[in-house]
Amino acid sequence: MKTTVPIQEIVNIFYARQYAYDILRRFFVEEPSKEYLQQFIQKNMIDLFPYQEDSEGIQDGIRDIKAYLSTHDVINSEEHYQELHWDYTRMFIGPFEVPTPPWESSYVGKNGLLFQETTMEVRKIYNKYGIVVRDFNMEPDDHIGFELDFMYHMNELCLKATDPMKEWGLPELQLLLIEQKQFVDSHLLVFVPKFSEGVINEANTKLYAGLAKILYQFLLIDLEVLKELLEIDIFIEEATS
Amino acid sequence: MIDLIGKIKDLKMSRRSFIGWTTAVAATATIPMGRGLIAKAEPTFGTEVAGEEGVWKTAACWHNCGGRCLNKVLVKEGVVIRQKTDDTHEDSAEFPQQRGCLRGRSQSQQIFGADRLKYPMKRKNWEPGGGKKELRGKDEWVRISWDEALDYVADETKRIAKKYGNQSIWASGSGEHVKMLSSIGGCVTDWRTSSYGGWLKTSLHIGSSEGYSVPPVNDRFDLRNSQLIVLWGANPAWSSPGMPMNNYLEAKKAGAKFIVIDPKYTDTANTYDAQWIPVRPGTDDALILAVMHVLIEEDDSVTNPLIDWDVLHRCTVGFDADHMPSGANPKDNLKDYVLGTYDGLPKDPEWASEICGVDPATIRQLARQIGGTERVSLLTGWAPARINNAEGVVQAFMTLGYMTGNIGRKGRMTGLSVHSFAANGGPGLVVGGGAGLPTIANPITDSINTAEIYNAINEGKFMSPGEGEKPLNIKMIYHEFQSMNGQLGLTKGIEVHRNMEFVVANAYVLTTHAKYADIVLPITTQWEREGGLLDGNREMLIVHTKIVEPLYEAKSDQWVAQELLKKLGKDPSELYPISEKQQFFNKLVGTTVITENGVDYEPLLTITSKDISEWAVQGTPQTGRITLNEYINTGIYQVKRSKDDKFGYIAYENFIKDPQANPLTTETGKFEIYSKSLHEASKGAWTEIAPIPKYMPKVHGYEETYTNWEKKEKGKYPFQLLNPHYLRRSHSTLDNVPYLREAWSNAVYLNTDDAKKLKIDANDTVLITSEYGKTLRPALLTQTLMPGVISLPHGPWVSMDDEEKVDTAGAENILTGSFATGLGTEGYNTQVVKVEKWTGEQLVEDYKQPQRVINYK
Repeated sequence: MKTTVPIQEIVNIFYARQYAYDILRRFFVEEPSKEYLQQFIQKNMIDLFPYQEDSEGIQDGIRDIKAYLSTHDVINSEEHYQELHWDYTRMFIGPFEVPTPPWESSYVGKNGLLFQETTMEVRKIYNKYGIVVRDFNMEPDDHIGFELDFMYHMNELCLKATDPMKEWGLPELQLLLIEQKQFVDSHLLVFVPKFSEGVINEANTKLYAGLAKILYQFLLIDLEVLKELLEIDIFIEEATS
Repeated sequence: MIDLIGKIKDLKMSRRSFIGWTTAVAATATIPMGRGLIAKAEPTFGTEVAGEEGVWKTAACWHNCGGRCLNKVLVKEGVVIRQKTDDTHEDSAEFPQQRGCLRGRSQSQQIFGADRLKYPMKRKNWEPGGGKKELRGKDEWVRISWDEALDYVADETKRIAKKYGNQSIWASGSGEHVKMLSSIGGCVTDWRTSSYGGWLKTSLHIGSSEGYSVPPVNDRFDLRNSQLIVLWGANPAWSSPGMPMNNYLEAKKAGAKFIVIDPKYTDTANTYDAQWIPVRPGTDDALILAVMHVLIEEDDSVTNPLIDWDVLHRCTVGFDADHMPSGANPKDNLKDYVLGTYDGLPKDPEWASEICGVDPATIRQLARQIGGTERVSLLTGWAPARINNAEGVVQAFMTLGYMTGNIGRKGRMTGLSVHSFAANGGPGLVVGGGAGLPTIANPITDSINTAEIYNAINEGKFMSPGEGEKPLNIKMIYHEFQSMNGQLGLTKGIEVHRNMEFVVANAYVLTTHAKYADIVLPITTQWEREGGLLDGNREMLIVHTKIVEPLYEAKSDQWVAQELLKKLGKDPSELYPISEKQQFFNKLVGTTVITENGVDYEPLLTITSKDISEWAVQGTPQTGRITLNEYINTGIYQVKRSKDDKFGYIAYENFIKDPQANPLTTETGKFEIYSKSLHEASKGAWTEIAPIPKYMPKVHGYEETYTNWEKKEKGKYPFQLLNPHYLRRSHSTLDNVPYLREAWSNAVYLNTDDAKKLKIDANDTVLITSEYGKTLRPALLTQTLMPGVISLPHGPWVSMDDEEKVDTAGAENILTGSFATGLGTEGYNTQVVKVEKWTGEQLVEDYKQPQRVINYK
């Protein structure tokens, strides 16, 4: 018999995911801005990273990040900020060798070319949900930052769908969960294991090494969560009068 | 792995996490992200867009490889998913397909490679004035916006021009950057002999062709009339992609015998089962003089006619004392020089053999074959004269053709068989139109020979032929092309770049010129531009169109020039009054094709008013042979040829028939075996050159491999180094393409016996040292290269080791010096080097290395 859980309780899971995917997308889509780092550090945001109690890997990543932040003042020291900024540029942009390419194509496609089949597959999936990459064609759609941003957007749609007043919410949620499970399974987790390992080895800052550890471990758990959510029976709890 | 239900329960009980998450997300939600996903204007929510059919489009294969082929790509939903080459018609010898080579077929890897330069970037430790200049080439990079990048370039240009004058700005090569700088006061430019070697500057004096201005050889159908084809330092298998190899093959099928004279037994020699005569680099003039000696000695107009006295007397000056130009000393004729009449040194096979390495019997046999065969094609590449002191090689080679009458006649030709005219001379049968852009004069006329430019910049003075030495004070360099790798004296070039106050480079990947810059501007490839025409062999014209929208933040060179003009307070519409699309359209409108009579040309394209409005361009309708759409869809127009059509060509035919009525542009109107103008011009240039092709030891030539020539004691640099064009790339373009790196390892070719003596095994890493620098390469051992010569392919991207002492890429110009000889020739094929086994860390194969190896840490 299927476990049944009211949708009002499921919603917490989506807030957890919102929090996690927001951190991950922001650190992997572009060089971190000072403005965001300020919030991230002052609010000790990494301490609240979801699922840490379930994952040694995430704890390990958090330790790395905290260790880095305890010796580096990226908000007030321009040198420290530049070091972090360059770590992103160097690993994910170039212009020389890109030691840890941030594109799925580089890992799964033939010959590591960009803007090929994988880019188009991912573009089609985004398209299904009315989402496109801003500044179209300037960066391949299968950039890790975009794929994480996509998950963030999908999770936002889940949050909308959990509104108990929306009658289409449950079937819609079901579709969104299936899509996300497939996306994590056949896109993100296809290359993140290698990507994450690359970043852990290549990063000059423990912040990015830590984020890479968290990224991989979080996705593994999130895939399990999505599978579980599809197993259970979600219902709308009628308000008792 | 995770107890979801438990988790949900926990979350329900404790609201700590929930509140923390939502407040943090709320706080950061207002912080903008520079990149990411957005909602589409018209969402197609929950539905998949139906897949569209792919479309084959013609993509540009625009590289300077010597050939030109049709390159097509299958574009589906904005992505290139496959490539192919010419299948627009059945292939036949008469009407061949224009098939691509490994480079064209790997081009997707060039356009879509992860190594593309994606954003404008600034060297981290750069600041106006240069910042830490010594970090150029090894600094960290920061992504900047286009607006910032253009501001930096405009501000530095203004500052430097104001402080030192526009004469302090060097724009390398020619291009939009030169035009842009010309409209704000000008810039110093450069000139070079590049691939042409000695042919470029010598030809105008002696009446030969440098390879382009006059099609130097007969057309491909006439080539089949040759009985003997001598390929002298020409390797079309590597250097003339496209039709040329097949044109020669047809001649072979028609019965021609082949001789290949080259330090290397080439793939060409192998293909045609040629007799191989190995000759030392830079000594071809000695061999030619000895061949002449044999011809003069053995010629008998009745019993053994080897020399065409008729051509010599009617069409040339300077061969013998009776045919000297006015004012010249009769004793200075070539024949008496060859015989040694006055200097007591006959230039006989025994004399030549010591220099060029060909044994005297082979020289005699070669002379008898060339002189004793009725219809000979004496064909050369540019390479034998791409040497120091090259002029005599050019003049001697042409003279051999005149002497044997192998010029201007059916099945008989002498000259360069290179590039677009390789094995197929003649005027273009389809000729593209012009873009219709205005030209602009550069107010500054100082132009520096790239052979010595790095030295000149360091010394603060340069040589202007005919004018003498002039002062030079360069503070800023603007590169638009890959102009650094291929220039002589790269070791000094790096030093010069590090002395500049500002270096800016347009680039699509980080080749050497961009690597040593302060600001790099990402540029579109031809696949991302409006389209254009590509000519190559004379029988066809390719039209290519846009394949994908510009990738990343890449922009065209014209866009960059226009934006800089705006920042510099100029109206860009003066230089660029029409769009790039209109320019493309104008080229199409002006394209003409030869008519059946073989003389006149007519418009190729029918263009309707509907075409004009669809293209959204200015124009008037016209009638031509095919429709615009047919041309664009096919991607090529090729004239059908047949054996007796009216499109044939015999080089110098009219001149040989009647030299009085059809004089050449030389001083005497004839082929100049004795050239006063060559001699005079050389006095205002780098090395004085005799009016006749006298042998002289070349700077860094064979003689320099000895400390004692008489006793034959070898010196510090005992090997001669050759620098051939290579199929892995086109000059330095494409060198980062993985397919090509794997197929062509960029090894240094060593003679097996030489290697044995040096205890070098195959694939050992080898250190090559010249007086100018050091480079490393894996060894390829072969008996197809003559002993004493090593061959290092042209074009890899320099990659200095951590101490900046040794290049690990095999960049040939790390080994060359920054200087010119003769009329200013860049002498790539005359180098002397030392070769030894490298005792340090062995090189990893290029294709296993990351695309661009820079150590960041």
